[in-house]
Amino acid sequence: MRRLFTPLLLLLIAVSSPSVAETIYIYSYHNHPPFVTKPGQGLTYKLADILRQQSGNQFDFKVKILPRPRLNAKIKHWIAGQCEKQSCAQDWLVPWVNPRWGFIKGPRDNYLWHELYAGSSSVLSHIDNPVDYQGPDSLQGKTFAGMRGHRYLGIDPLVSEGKIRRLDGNKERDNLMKILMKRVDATILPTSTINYFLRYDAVIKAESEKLLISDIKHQQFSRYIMLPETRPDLLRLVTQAKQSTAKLLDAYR
Amino acid sequence: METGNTPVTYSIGLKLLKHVFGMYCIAAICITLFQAWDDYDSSKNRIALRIAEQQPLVQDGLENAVWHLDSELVDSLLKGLLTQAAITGVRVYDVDGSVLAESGQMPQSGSEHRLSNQLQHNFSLYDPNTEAGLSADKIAEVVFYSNNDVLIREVKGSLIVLLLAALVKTAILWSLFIYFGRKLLSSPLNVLTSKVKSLPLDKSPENQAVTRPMNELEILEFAIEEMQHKLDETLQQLHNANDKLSSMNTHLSRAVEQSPSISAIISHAGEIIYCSPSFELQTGYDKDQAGTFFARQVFTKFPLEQVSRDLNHSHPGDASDARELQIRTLSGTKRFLSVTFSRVQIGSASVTNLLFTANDITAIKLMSQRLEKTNQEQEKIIDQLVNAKGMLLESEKMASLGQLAAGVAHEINNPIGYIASNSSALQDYVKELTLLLDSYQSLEEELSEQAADQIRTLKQQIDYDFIRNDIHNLMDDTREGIRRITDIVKDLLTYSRSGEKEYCYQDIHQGLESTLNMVWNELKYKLDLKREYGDLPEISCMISQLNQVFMNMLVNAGHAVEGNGTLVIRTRQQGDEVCIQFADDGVGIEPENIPKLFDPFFTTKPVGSGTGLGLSVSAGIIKEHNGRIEVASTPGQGSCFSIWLPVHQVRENAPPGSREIVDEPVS
Ligand SMILES: Nc1ncnc2c1ncn2[C@@H]1O[C@H](COP(=O)(O)OP(=O)(O)OP(=O)(O)O)[C@@H](O)[C@H]1O
Ligand SMILES: [Mg+2]
Repeated sequence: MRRLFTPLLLLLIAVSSPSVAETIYIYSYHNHPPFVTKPGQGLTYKLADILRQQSGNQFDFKVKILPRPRLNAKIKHWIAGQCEKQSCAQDWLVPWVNPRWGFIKGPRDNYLWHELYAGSSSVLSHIDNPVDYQGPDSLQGKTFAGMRGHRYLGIDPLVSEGKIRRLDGNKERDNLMKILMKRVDATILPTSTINYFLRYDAVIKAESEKLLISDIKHQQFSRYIMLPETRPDLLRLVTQAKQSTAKLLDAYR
Repeated sequence: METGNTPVTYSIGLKLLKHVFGMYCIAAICITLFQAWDDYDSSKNRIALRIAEQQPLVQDGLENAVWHLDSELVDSLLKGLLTQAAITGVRVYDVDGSVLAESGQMPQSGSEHRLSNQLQHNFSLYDPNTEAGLSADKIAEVVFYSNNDVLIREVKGSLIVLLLAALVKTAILWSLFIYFGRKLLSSPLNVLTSKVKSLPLDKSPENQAVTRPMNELEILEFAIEEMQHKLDETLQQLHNANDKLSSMNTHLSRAVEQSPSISAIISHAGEIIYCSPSFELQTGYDKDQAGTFFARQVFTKFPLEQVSRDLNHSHPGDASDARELQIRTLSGTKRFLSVTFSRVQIGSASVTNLLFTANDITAIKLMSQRLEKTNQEQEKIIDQLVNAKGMLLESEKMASLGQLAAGVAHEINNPIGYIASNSSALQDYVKELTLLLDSYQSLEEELSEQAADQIRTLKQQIDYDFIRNDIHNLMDDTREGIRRITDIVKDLLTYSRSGEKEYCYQDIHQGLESTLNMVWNELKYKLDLKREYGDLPEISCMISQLNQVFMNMLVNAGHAVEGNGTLVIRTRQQGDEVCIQFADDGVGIEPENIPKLFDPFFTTKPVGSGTGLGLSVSAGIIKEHNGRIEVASTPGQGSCFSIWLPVHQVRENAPPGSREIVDEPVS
């Protein structure tokens, strides 16, 4: 009997182990479609599901949507590259980001990166008031609807020079609507976001002809999952889920 | 002192005002302070509310701005908040406590605690993107500050109004107080004081000089004190009078209750209103029965209407004349009361009651009855004495007659004496002569015829045989006659030998017989006499006196019988006594007369017929003999007098048998 008892006990512990799965926070400031379409829905959440499944419930992935400044505040030591000296939180990953988007202020890159797909951001204007975007200068003298807290490469200096009038909004759709209502001359949105609205938002879909999407993209970039460098296990998991994620992302390309 | 117009400065109103106003000022200050504090407090609350009201206006914006850490937007929102007059500063703290943003005047870190949290408003900001149903993460803490300047600005106006109102109220109160104090307090008090002063209580103490000014109350107090003195004295006098009265009352009621006189108060309707305890004692009736008693025993004799009528014109207190009333107590005893009625007037003149007063005069009444009787008896005795005087004269006559008779008897006694002795000698002689003649006769045979014839003839002539026989009879009769004369004389002597004081043993029967001899001639037509003599010894007595007794008995018996009657004389001896009884079948004696029989001068006989001394004298004689006389009588059937005499007299020396010569001459 005694010989049988210990293995049984171990089995019991093993069975009950999923209840103590480690929580991994998926921090994301991409609060707009297709990443977040409705509260609790969107690519980010699906990503969380895939990863959870992939880990075999070893990890519990929780999505936290938060503004970029807040994300910065949360991982400020990683950004500053000070995590070798200080104990920093390692229970997170940030999807849909690019290493050049201000996450490395320290002497070196202390993250692990997993590329998801190549994305872009397009300039939108009303068809009655078309903006032929060739570069940031094309927006001079225009009223530009920006997202609050966003920095727009090449555009922000013109704004501070007073050459472009920037009106910030909180939501991507608002900015899109501002175009449709001709409140502003142009706005810049991720292409995937624009596609999502054109495909799933009834109002915008109805007026899709009124929208002019620039052929020249404001930016071309790859979207990665950013991980603390101390979590190769998570990177492995993300890599293992690659097929599933690729399939998911195809729907919003 | 002058009480009518107290100067305002001394007025009670002003005095009161001073005291009241002091208290009022304290109270007013307290109340005003309280109002001010309340105002301040409510203003503070108001401000706090106003600060708090700003929260929902900016919360969403702030939340978004803070969420996005958009400091520009946050600043502009804070600036906007500062335009509100109530908010002097705003500060936004991060969840880790660091200041995210601030604007306006901030309290110093030290003074932050001093400011009550009512002057600041805290609230939290949450993650605006939180899905419904999930608990949102706190992202920041916002504090709105205000300061005392705002508060003071807010409160200043109402404080001034409050102060002004308090001042105005005080002024109005002051003037009202003086006005009404004088009107409602001072003048009534002055009036009261003068009224108190003018109270008609005697012995008013000399007015004390009042030097210092007084207010109305003090004047009143002064007056009341004065009155109290007066009242005390009056009360004391009343107490004394009351004590006297109540003790008097007690005495009076005790006197009434313990008085033997019956007192009763009777209403005009005859109802007994009050009855003294003596009523029960004297009549035996209960108080409850008083009504019945009065109805049956009083008003029957003195009808109430009449009594009332009689008293109607009298004054209260005038009593009717005392009248006598005989009552019967509950136990049936007769009592005599002396009764008076008088009027008792109570209250109005129309209602009067009657006072019935009665004293028990039974004792007096009885006494007077006895006196009256005694009086009558005395009158009778006086009559009897007058009679007796006549009788005495008569008896004196009789006595002298007796003496005469005794003298005659004495004179006769001597000749009778020798006649008696001669006759006895003569009888002897005759006997002897007869004997002689008889012897002569026997010799006749022997005589000659002639002689014999002569003798015979002579014998025939003188009827010798007759003579011879009759001579002895004659002699006997003569001797009998002489003996009777001797007896009569002897009786006369014996009877009249009064004053005899010598006791000697005598034969009662002999006494009886001699007495009978004396009176029998008178009685023989009326009385049949029966002698039932027993054997009697001679007793020690004064027989002549006893004879008087016997004579009296015989005469009384003779008087007692009407027409014909019988008298039985019985004698017998009983022990050392002899009894002589005279029993007749005459009229008898009324029982009430029996005790009086032996009184001197008691007689039922018409004046001149009897003196009433007979039995009295007899009783005296018998008493002297240490004997007694008893009477038994039934009216209409007869009387029996029994005389008991001792055989021996104690003082006697002479032995029985030594009889004295009875017929000794008196003188
Ligand atoms: N045998 C009797 N029967 C009836 N009454 C008698 C008898 N003896 C005496 N009395 C009454 O007693 C009274 C008193 O008697 P008492 O001998 O003392 O006086 P008297 O006979 O009236 O007068 P007196 O004897 O002096 O001539 C008489 O008046 C008579 O009423
Ligand atoms: Mg007589």
